[in-house]
Amino acid sequence: MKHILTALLVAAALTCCTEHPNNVVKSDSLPRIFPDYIGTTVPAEIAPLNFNIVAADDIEIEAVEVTVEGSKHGSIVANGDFVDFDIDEWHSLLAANRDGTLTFKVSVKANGQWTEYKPFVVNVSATPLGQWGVTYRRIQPGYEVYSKMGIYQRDLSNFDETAIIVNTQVPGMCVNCHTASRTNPDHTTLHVRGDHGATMVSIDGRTEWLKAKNDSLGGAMVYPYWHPSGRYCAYSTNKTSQSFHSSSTERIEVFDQSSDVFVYDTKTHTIILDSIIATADHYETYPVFSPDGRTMYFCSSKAEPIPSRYREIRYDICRIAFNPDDGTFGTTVDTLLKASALGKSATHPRPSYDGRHLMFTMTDYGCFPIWHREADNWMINLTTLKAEPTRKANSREADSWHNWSANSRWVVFTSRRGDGLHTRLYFSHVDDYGRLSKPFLLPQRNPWKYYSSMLDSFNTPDFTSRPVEMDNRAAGMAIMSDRRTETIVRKQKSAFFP
Amino acid sequence: MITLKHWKLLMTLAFALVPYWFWAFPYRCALSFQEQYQLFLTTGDYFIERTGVPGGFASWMAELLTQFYYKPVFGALVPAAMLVALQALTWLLARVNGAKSAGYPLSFIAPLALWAYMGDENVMLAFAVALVATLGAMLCLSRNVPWHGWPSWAKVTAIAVGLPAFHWLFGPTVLMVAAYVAINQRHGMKLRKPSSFVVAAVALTAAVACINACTLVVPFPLSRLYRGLEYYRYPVYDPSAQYAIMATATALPLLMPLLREGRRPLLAGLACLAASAYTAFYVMGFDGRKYDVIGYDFLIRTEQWDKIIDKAEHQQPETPLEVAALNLALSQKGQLAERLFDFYQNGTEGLLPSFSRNMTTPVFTGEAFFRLGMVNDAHRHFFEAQEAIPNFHKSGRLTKRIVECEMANGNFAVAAFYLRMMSNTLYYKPWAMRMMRMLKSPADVARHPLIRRMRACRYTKADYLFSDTEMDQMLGLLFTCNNGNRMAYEYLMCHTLLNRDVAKFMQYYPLGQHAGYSRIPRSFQQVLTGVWLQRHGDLHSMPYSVDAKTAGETLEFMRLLTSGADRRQLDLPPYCHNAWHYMTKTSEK
Repeated sequence: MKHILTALLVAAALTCCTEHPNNVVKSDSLPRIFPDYIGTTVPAEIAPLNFNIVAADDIEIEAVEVTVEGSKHGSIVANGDFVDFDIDEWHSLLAANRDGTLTFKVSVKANGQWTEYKPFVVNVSATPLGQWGVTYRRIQPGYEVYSKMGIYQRDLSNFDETAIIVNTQVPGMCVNCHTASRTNPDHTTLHVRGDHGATMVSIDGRTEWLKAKNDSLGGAMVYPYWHPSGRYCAYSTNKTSQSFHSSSTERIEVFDQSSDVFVYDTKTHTIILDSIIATADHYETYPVFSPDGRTMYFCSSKAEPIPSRYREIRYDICRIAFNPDDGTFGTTVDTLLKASALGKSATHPRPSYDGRHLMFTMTDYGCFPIWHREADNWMINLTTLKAEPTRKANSREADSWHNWSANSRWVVFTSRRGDGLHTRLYFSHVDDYGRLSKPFLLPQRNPWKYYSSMLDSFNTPDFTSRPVEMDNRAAGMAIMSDRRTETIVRKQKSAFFP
Repeated sequence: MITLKHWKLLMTLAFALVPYWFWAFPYRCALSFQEQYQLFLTTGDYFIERTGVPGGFASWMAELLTQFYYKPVFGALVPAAMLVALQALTWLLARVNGAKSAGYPLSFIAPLALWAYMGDENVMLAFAVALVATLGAMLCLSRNVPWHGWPSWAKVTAIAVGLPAFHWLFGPTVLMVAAYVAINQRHGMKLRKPSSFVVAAVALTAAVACINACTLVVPFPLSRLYRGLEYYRYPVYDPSAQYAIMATATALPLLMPLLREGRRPLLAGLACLAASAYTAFYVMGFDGRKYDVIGYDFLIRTEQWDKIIDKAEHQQPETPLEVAALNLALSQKGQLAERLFDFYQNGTEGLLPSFSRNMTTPVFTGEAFFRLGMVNDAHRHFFEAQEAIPNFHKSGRLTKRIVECEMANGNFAVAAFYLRMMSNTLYYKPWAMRMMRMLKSPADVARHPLIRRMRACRYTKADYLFSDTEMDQMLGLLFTCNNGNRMAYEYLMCHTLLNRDVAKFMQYYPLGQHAGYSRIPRSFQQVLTGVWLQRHGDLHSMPYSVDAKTAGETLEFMRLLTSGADRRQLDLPPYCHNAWHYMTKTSEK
């Protein structure tokens, strides 16, 4: 009884403290909100789209109240300093309005006056997300030196973020290229740089730490992509360097002075190199497999002298047949997209898992789009081979690294559109024609507070079907132990490069 | 009236004043160094983030106190107070354990050792905070306080709960508390009281277990948890000095009661031992060369160019960072081309030190780039220096510079991002708020003297990639872009000289006609005279306006050099200050 009374008193006190709109002035304009969720399309499983009201410095936002009405059923209300929806209510509303819309009526009290803005709509997709969350690396947008960084995962139905592995575990360690197979964390690979470098390959709970560099290979195993069978993983090996622009509009140029692509056979610890995709006169990078596993896509550029002709480095998207039965490549390389002919460079190809589209990033030159403000994501229709920019999802700042959801109806990508420096995660719905919807920023409990104080950039995002389970203590000890599995190199000699 | 009866108070007062003076004046640069490698935010989120690891509260408290180092006169009170607190607590603990006045001088051993240890610039104040808190906890758990009368079950419960909590707040100095509690049970153990054995066992087990258990909740290796996550700036280091101080601070209050009144010889012996230990610690801790660099860094930060030159005149700088600081100061006072060879030079590294992945070197180079107008390169060096801070802290000084670079480049959204962060600080807030207001108007930004100068000096005609092997070309571009940027011209010319590249010096020299000199700088006169002599054999009809004294000295230098005179003669003034002395040296010091 005592507890009930206490709860009632607390509830009453809270109710008394909550301000509700009165003497409301109507406005014809849409509210200025952060993040800009207006007109976006979201999956029904997504975490609440909490937002803040954006106002000029001389305007004090005293309260905000939002009513969200579903086009099919239900409504919820949130009020406070910012819009913070109850998670359970939010999910119930979205579940009831799948393939419908949510109409947000926003009232704001500023400088003592309530204003009701023109309502805006968010579409709830009929297509489920089908994923538990996303994985990504968090790192400060630096150059050569890195401080605290790590691989994290985030439950997309709420705001919970957990670390998969952080470099505090092993001093001086850099972790990158965390990649699962078609969003399945049972097949994962991860690259570790630093004094205790290694490439981790984990299959169904069995983890191996490969030597970071094979002498025959000459470099590390980076930019991985799993074969759908789970037996193979494609990597590239890149001799990467960077230099710094003098221009006020650009910061850094990252380029490869040599690079090749290859496939690693997890069963035999064999690195399969083929002369057709490891040429001296071309830089090959960013290998990926087609969903049927019979084709490998990769990017290739003529090997121009670096750094003197770095602006002439332009990558085309190529493909080559791959036979998963014996791990051999075809004898010819096709050019899927000759971006160089357009005076552009196409990198980071990612085929949709349904095999219909291939998304990539287009820049004016080079292989590292994240530092190119002009970087935009593009989509190739793999049936018609027509390529076009994902206009609704692109911005004036760098839009780059992307990955598909397992059902190929959602993409996650990084963009610097917020402040021009920090990359954040955006999500878009993909329609039947491969068109992307207006993207929405990864939701946070208090988005403005979170993003305006988050010094890290988010990069290399990918969906994950369920939480990644990594014993980071064991991983730290394995990294420190320097016990590594040797890899064998098998060289194949194929035909000429066309 | 204070008399000799108050000798203990006098000793403590003296002990308070000396460290205060030490840090407020001769070693104020050490405070600046500590302050510049942190950015304490006055937000709840920052508190939560900092206290989310073992020892986090000590770290947060230390950062809170370290921010006052921004004003060394106030900031010096902090370490002095820490040392005095440690001494006072040591004495109180010793008193509780039965020490007599004769032992009072021994209560200074641990604080003296800590002071010496703090000479290592990477020892964090968090260690001192944790030590003080630990001795406070030990006092609370002593025999003559209420704790002593508690029943055993209450003691065991308090230990089982309190020690892990203490560990979370202050870190592995919890081992000191556990050891103290266990040793304090010795009387009971002698009497074979089971409760004493239980209390001692629980204390030691709880301390060790809570440290070990933390590996399950925080992503740090066990070795780091035993060393303390924030006691030292680097994650990997030799903790023996730290452990020695912890052991000393634990043992002394228990050993001091053994010293009886009237045992002067023993007291004197112990005092000598302490003095020796302190001297050893001092020598080990306060590395003079290191503090010279820190001193130069402080003078650059505070733009005390004359003091840098004075310091160099008093003691020749030798390391590249010191020389780079001196050359920067000379350039800021318009003396670089005039006096370059008045000082020891160690090549182009002493002008623009190469990039290194540490938190110190890039700051020196970044400051030079910043003033030259190489905005992106300055930004890169400041950013990288900040990222290289081993304990992942941010830096107020460097963030401020990063903001200025972003503003010069017109990246106002990024600048605003950092300014919002800095507006949550104590000392950077006024500046951050001013800059935030300015960001609303690009015209105001353009009018800001610093930004205006950076924009005017920046090379804007085209884009090029930074190349440290083509420094002369980059400096040349800067100067040709803005002839008012005399610093760029002098750095260009001095770069060629320090590279012993006379051909390039002669190639670039004519650019100086646009630099607005009223006379040829002395170093340049020396080179021009020498080149003329080499080409023509005498100074007759030399077209350059060279002072008779400079010409004469250079002529004499050349004569001595070619006559095969003893090189040691050339190492004396005025010859050792001639550009050709440096140019003809085959190896650097």
